[in-house]
Amino acid sequence: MSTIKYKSWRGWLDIKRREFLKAAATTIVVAATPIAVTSNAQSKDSRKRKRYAMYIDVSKCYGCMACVVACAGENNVPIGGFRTWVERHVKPDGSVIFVPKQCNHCENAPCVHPCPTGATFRREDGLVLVDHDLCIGCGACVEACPYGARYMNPVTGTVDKCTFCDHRLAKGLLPACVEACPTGARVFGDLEEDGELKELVESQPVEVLKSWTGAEPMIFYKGLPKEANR
Amino acid sequence: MSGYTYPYGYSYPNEFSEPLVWLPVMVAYSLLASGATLILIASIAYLTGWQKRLVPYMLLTGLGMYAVVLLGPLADVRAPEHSLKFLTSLHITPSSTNLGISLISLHAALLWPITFLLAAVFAVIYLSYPTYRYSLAGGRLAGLRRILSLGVSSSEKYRSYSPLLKALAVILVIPTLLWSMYPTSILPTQTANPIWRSWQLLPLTQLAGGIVVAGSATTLTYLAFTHNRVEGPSALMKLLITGSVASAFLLLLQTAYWYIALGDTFLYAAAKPISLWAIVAAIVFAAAAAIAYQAIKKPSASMAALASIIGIIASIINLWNILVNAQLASKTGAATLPATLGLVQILEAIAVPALAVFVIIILFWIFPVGGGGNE
Repeated sequence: MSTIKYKSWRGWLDIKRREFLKAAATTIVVAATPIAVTSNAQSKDSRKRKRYAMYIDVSKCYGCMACVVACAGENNVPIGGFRTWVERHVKPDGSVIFVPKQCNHCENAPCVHPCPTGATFRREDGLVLVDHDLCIGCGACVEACPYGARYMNPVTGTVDKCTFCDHRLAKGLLPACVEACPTGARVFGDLEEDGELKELVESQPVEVLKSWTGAEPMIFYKGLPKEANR
Repeated sequence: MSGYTYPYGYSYPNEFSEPLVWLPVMVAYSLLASGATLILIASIAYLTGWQKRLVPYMLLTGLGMYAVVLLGPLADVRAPEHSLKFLTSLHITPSSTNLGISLISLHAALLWPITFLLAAVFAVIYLSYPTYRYSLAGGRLAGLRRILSLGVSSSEKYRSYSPLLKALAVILVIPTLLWSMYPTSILPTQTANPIWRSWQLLPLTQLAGGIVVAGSATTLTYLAFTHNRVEGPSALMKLLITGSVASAFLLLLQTAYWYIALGDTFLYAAAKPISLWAIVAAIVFAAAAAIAYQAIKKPSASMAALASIIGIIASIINLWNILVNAQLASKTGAATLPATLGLVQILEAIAVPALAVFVIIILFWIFPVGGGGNE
């Protein structure tokens, strides 16, 4: 059997080739283990649960409807249907307030419960979506939504609603309504991540629509008039 | 100036564009769900020995209604090409992505086939020996009747099925009771609609109305398919009176609740028209009960038929109010929305009960009812 000469603290030593290879392999495995564990932990962190949400500052909305048009264009919304809309309310002092509304992608979405085929579902990142291949168009979710966010698409016969433009999110873009808003009234992001959205939701006096339904909506309004919360 | 400018505030535009999501055919659906109530009453009648002679009428009428009940929602879905998903993709267990349990899936995809199968087996076995005797008379359907008699050619053999019949009757009680309160039992869970959300008595109201339809429908089939047109219906008239009085009471209780809870607020705007129609329905139920009482005091086939027809009309008014009028209540509770109905939607709503009538006629043609239930 061939030998390899190597220098140790005791001086030059002979070692059999097989023993050398065994020792080298063991060294590599031992050294690589903490690296593997660390990178695995990092990928788990990157796959940590997201929770998409939106913050709307009502005082910044002046009813230009750019978000409604952008949404309709981006998502091919049929005439008569609205994935997002802007309500106009007049306060007792005569001032006018515009309140953008859409699907709230609720944590305990009431629309998911009655769906007979599971077509309406809540994704891990919090988006409440519709699988159009499973939807039979029964309308139970339309009747269940306290926010009027759903409508029957007359072309497909299935239910449609705001998806937070999940196809844009997949490309790292913002929802169309957020990008179109000229005043920055809408802020979108991940509630689980430190960022503008989380800071605003935690620092500003926000409220949600129809909290008494138990739906736990994920759109947080600043300055929401009580007339709009019916 | 009022602080609320609805409907000028463009609130909930989706409900403006399509105020009626569930069309009038759903009224027919709820009416035909009374078939389950009939099967329930027939099961209880069999177990207790109450009005044995009427059990075949209740069974066949109930089965005829229950057999076609799901054609109602099938006619209403907007993507019927996906309708099979209803059976292959059930939402009857909660998960992190599919929250809760769908009562629609539970009742229609799971309970209905089980209940219908059990009820059909119960009916066939219950009528097996009379069907065999009927087949001996010959005729075009003799062969079919012999098959449906399941080989029960003697009263001893028929009596041997008694434990099975009792077991089936007991098993049928729970699913038929659940179905008797469906589909309106899902409405109070729809937090979106302010009328349904505040109408916790709906399941009981549906049950009471179902008893009215059960008594009415059986009376009409009894009068249509038997020669004895004087005796018999008084028990069904009592059923009609019980259901009518209960329905009227529950409706008036609900209208009183709305008035007391909402009368001073703008939220009564949506509840007021519903209340008015509920009172109309209560009055018609009371009229049906009064005529039914007269039909008991002075037994008369025509009075019994009139009471039954008025009972069914009262149920239709009530269900229309619950399912169509209440849908038109805005999510704000502050107004009702206008809706126009086309002839097609009305015809659709009539078509499904018409099919039920056809199935009932076929069932009464095949099975004997004059001497049914001999043991």
